[in-house]
Amino acid sequence: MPMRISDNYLSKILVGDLNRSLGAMLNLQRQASTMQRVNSFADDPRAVGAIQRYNALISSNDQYLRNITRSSVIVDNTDTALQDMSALLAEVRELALRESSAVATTQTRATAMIQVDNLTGRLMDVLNTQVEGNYIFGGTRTDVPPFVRNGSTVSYQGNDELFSTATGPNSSQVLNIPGSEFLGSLSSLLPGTADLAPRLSGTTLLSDLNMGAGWTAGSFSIRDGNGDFFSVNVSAAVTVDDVITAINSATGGAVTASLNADSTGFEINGTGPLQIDDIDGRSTASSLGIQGASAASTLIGRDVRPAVSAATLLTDIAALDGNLPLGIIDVEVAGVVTSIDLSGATTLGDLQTTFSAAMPGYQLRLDSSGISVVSGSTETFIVRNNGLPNTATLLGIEGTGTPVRMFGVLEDLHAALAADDPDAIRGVLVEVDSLEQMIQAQLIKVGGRQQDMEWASGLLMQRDTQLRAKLSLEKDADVAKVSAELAAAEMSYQSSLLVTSKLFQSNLMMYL
Amino acid sequence: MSLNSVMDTSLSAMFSAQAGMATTSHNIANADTPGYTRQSNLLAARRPLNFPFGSIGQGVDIVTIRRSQDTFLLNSLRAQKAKMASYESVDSALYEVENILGSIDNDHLGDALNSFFNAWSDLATPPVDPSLKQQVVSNAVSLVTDFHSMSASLDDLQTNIEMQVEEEIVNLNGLLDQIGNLNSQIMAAEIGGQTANDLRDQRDLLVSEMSSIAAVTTVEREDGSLDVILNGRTMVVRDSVQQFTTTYRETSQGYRMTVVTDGNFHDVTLPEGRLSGLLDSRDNYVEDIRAQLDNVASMLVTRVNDLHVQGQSGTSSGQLFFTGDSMHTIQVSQALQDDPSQVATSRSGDSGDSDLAWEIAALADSSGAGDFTVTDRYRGLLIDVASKRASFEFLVDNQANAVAAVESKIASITGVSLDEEASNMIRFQNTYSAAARVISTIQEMFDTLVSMI
Repeated sequence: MPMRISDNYLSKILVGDLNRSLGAMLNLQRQASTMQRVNSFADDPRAVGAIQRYNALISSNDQYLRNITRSSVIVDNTDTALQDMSALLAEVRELALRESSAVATTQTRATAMIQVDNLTGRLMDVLNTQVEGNYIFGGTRTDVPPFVRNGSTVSYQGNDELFSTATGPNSSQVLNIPGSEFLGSLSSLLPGTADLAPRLSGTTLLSDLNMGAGWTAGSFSIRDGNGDFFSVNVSAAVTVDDVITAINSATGGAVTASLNADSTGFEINGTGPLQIDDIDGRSTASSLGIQGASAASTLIGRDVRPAVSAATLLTDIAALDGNLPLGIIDVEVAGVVTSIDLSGATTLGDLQTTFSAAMPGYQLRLDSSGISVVSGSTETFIVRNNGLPNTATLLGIEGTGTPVRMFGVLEDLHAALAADDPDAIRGVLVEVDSLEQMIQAQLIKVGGRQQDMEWASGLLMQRDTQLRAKLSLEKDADVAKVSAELAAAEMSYQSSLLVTSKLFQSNLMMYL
Repeated sequence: MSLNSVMDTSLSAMFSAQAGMATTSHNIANADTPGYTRQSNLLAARRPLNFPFGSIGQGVDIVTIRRSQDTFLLNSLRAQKAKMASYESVDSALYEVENILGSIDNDHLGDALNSFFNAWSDLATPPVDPSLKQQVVSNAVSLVTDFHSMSASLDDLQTNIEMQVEEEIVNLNGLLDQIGNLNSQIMAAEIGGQTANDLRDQRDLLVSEMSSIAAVTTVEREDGSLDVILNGRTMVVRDSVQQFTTTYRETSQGYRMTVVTDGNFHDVTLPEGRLSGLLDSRDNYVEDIRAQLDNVASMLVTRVNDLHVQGQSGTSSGQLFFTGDSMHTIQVSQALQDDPSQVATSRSGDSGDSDLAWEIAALADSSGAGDFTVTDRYRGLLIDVASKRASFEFLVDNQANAVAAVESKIASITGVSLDEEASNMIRFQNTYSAAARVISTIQEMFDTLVSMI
């Protein structure tokens, strides 16, 4: 039996259809007018969480950028101060050379003493540099001048603490150089020159990578020359092997990962060109050293080796390959030579123990990628090779350890000028050499920090772009699609209106 | 059989056509009346006169005027409307919650949390500027104000819901009264055996309206009255009506309004409908949002305080940063508001040491192994609200379609079709004309007879 069509029925059906059509058009009009796909929580619950997350990540990313911008003033001022110190030391060298020469007289030396006093004052001004009310060479005691003059001596009232700024969710950048490193009158130092960072192995912990700075867990994408796109999730990885396994299994073997030839980082092989990018706003690939592109079929990752530690095996250090076991080194202090046999050492910790046992008051200090010799006194010492292999050279500690005494040099020079002793004045030059090297080392360190901060800043800006793009994908409407759909919806609505008006215009009554 | 009796037969036809025309006119008049059910005359042939050669009909009688109603569909519509009203109430409450939380582009609490942690980062960032402690305190106060504002808005929402419950109770009681009155009118009208169609239409409409407030079942008695039963409790018997009221009682969630029967104050378990939706919104959905926001506030207080008490500033040490443990009670320590210099940034107290400030700033991103951060917890709340909103918006849309489908079906059966009425009108007019023509013919037959005399 055919359905009975009453006027009420007709009205309900047509009005219901009109409402649905109008509702669809309203939704599209709202998207077109706000240019947003998601206008209410109910539009896309998943996107609401993602939008909030991206907004929070963008906010914290902006904050990290502000941190870098703000903190770079400290690094820049430290750099300026170090250059001032370098220039000042050049003046000290010139003065010492002049006053130790044959043309110098007692009178010129007396005048030079005044210059030395002035230089001491200028050096204090430099080391008491303030940035926005903060003394930058006082460690974390930034509210008091780190260097104070008591009569003819200068003492340090800061501390040895470092301070840093956050440059990312899990990364920070040390900003300062404690003034104690310049005063250093209580010890002598022979900075190491060899790269002793251990190579990677499958069992190396990811948390130890990048000189101990660790890595960022998460995912990254790999695109190969076949146009295949792989998303690799390494969140659960703990060791280097875990990362290699995750890449190999995520790509089904199309792209393979391994350690590079010298085991300083990863190597990715596949059909070139290869492109590896971070996703989700995290820096996982960057922290693993594999972020980037390669036109060839191999992408060599950057050096992500761990820092040296007491447990580092000597066999893991590339610089010692073919030279193990180590041999003997000689340490000369005040004409007394002590031979230290390091052949029994298998780890850097063993070297430290053996060295300290043979040379009480001296120690081998582990400095991220190398070792330095530090003495507890201001006496100069010399480290030499004793037979083959050239152990001191291999360990990067062949040379002379000298006290670091920024103000001590000036005090010594002042005393030598007062004593009118050309030899003593000339002797100061050795210390000036050492200080200049130390300042150069610090300048390199600060330059590295400036580069690191610029790199971090670039990374954050890149991350900001990625995050905003992802936010846009979640939130913004596809305007072309919405416009087309809106036009179709308008046409559909107008048709509905026309049909409805026609249907209500006629009934049997009109023909009676 | 006489000519007179034939004339009576035609007269019955004319009468039935007139009555049909009257019903058609009534149908057309009420074509747009809400709840009106189209009526039609039920006709039956009169008992015939028996003759040796057979039976001759005596015309037509109007047996009754009946309503074209489908009780099954009507009950189905009431059940669907009850569900829809229930969903709409929750959806409406969740929509309010969404407005309280903010919008996609203006996420009050999320922005305040970001600003708070960023202020700590600013404070920690060298070169250290102690005046930024004021910024930390100000941002913390703004954050606390946001929490308080949300707490007050949720309180207002729950109060508004209770006001709506009061209004619905008044509506429900009014409907119950009207049904009681209609019951007595219908009983009186139907004593003679006739059906009080229009009164029944009105009563059906009222029961349907009541179903949106709370689902009811009905039982019709032989006397035409309708018993109204709400979740097993009979609320209307003939013209006797039991009403509802509200009272405030101590519940597990505090001092709360509950629905009880008027007079003896017995608790009423509400079936589906707007009332149950409103109370469900208040006790479950809004309360759950409140609990989650309390959790966010409590987590913020605990984590920031755990770190801040370890620190020392130039003038104090071991201070709490926040007090309270919920979004309603959270406050920034008064001592810190009075003197922001007491905000601790480090354990050592050194002016350039910001270890604690960094750790507090890092709470935005990390929380320790496998645990949620404060912002994670807040994001979880947003996703939860968004999911529920989407879910209820879908349920309401779906239910609206279900209601529309049943309404359409009912409209198809009970609604007035003007085409149909026009057709009936012609039919009745033709019947009337034909019957009149028969009478005119009989008159001519009489005239023939008379002229023969």
